[in-house]
Amino acid sequence: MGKKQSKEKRKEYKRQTKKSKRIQKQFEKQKQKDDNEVKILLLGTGDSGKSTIVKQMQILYKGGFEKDEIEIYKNVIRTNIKSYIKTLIKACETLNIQIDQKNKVLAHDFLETVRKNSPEITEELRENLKTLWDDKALKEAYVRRDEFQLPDAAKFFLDQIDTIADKNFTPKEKDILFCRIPTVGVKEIHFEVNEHVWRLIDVGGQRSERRKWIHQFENVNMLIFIVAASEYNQILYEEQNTNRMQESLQVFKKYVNNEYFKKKDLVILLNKIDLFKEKIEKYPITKCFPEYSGKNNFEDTSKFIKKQYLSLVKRKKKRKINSHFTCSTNTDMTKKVIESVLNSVIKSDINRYFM
Amino acid sequence: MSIEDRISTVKEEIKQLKNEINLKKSNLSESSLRTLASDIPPLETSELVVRVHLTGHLGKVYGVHWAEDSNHIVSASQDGKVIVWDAQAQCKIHAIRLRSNWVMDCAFSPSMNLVACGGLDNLCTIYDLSQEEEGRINIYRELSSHTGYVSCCRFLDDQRIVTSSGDMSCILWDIESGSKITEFADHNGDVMSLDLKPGDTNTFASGACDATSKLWDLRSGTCEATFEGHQSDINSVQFFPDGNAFGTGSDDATCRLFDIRAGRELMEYTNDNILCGISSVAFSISGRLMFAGYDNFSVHVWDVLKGNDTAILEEHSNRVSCLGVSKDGMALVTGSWDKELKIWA
Repeated sequence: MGKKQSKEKRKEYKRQTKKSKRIQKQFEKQKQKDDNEVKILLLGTGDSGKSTIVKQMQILYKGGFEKDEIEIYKNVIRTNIKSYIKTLIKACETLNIQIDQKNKVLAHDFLETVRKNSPEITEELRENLKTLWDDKALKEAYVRRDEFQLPDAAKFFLDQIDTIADKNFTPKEKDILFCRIPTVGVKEIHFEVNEHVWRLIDVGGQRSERRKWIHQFENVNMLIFIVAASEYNQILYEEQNTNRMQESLQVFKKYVNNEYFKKKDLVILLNKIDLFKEKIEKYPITKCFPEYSGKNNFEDTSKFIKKQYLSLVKRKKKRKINSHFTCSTNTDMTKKVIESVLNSVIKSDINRYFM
Repeated sequence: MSIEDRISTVKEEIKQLKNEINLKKSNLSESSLRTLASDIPPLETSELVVRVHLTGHLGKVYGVHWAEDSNHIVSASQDGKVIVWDAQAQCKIHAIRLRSNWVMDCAFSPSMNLVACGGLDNLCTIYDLSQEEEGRINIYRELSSHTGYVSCCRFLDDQRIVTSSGDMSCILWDIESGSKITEFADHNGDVMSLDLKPGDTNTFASGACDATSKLWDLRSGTCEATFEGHQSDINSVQFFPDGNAFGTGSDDATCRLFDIRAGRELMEYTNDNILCGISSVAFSISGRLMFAGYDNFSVHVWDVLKGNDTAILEEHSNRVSCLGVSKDGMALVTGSWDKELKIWA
């Protein structure tokens, strides 16, 4: 090999090693950052409120939503009110509720012609939506909504058809909190509170075999399991014979006792507590827990449900378990609960997480 | 009879028919691979030793892939990094910061210009190594369509890539336009792995959690053959060097060899001491050896013909999650949850 060639080779080698060392240095800086993050895995069945908690973090600690995000939510809200009305009309059919003669044709046409997937709302459509939402039959179907699948936020949006249909409509934070977009894949948010960096991970979008990816989260510091307390008398979207809360209990049992998670600190959030308080006055929890023999007031029933979850945790020692009632759409309440959770982590010697 | 009863009766019938077919097949076969190979002298190989330790990842390594030049390696870890290494110089050439930490596999394109990775974000992200800006490599394309995690990805060339997913399907993509060309949906469980048939740009094999592996026609999107035999999730699939057979590794603690022309399983690689699953398999360049990475931190080297363990490599301190043999057959790279890559020769 000529002298010139070997000089070139040495130069190239020097450059490569320099770059490699630079990369390694960057890694070390990154490692310091990563190590100082507290990673929290958000778990819970579909519709329990995981994404809403993530949105609350966005509002509380990251200054709210970006313009393009708001635009997406606007379109989803508009598309959704059309699909809510469609669902109610179809429910009238299934539940055998006769729609008044004057609106029967309108309802039929609505099902046939309105394209569910577009956010367009014309003047005519706006009027039709209002007429149908006012219809006695649809109102009756709405009262029986636990017998079919209607998102909790339906009434909230249907009561604002005029605002939503208006061409200048811009969703406010409250609208975004109530708006449901199913999570795809993994959603994460990291934020700084009390001089620590926290990372919330919502893996609710995966409908695949849990055992094939759960080990990815072996290093999370804590689990938060969210339960929609109000779903004790509702059935699953995926399987019409399964009670939602029973499903949630099964999923909870599998996660908290999983080989990777059985020693991790756990927080149970009993969410949608506002809807639960309303429901418990009319519908007993014996629908889900036939063995319950206590009174049907909020105090006793909520305690009972909490106990049902806690009793499924196999290893209670060496891990901290806390529970809270929440209403994830209420920013103030969520702030109090989350900060209490974060503070308990700090108090319990946060260094335990960084050994 | 109710529908449920009818379904279970038919299922029983199918089971019986399958057993009859298998019985007939084994009656027709003259011998087994193990018997035929009993005369072949055992392999005399020198011990495989770790020649290079590639350290730097800060999290579990989930994917590793050799480049065609048998010198560069790409690895993916849940620390959110994809690293391109020069194996001989033992240094890092590129470090790509991923948007999502939860990566499950990575791959080099044959030209070595592109690198792909996929994971729990349900996306297959493509990076162009030739477009480095101020030390950073930006996303070239994000392939989005899968409704479950992307478990494996392999380039056909710089224009097309195939992915397998937890949504039970595989997809052939056109990278430039970022769109689906063909969808392959026939599995009944998460598809964990795929491999392209050597010397044939129109076929690939996949392995899934439904315990079956399938052969697919890339043009028509149809499943050409299904291979049963495993008792649990298949985590890895790799073609035999001549493309007429493929090996699989499964959670049922066995590796198996399936022959395409015979349409059946030829051999099972296991022993009573193995109680854990296999994450990845790879053949040596001659096909005589099959390397398998195990959950119990070891790598077994199986004699493909005779069916026995010729060596157990125990250097990793955590699960071996991925491995690969270089194109020139000179080296084996293993990736592990212990955050390290090791090159053996």
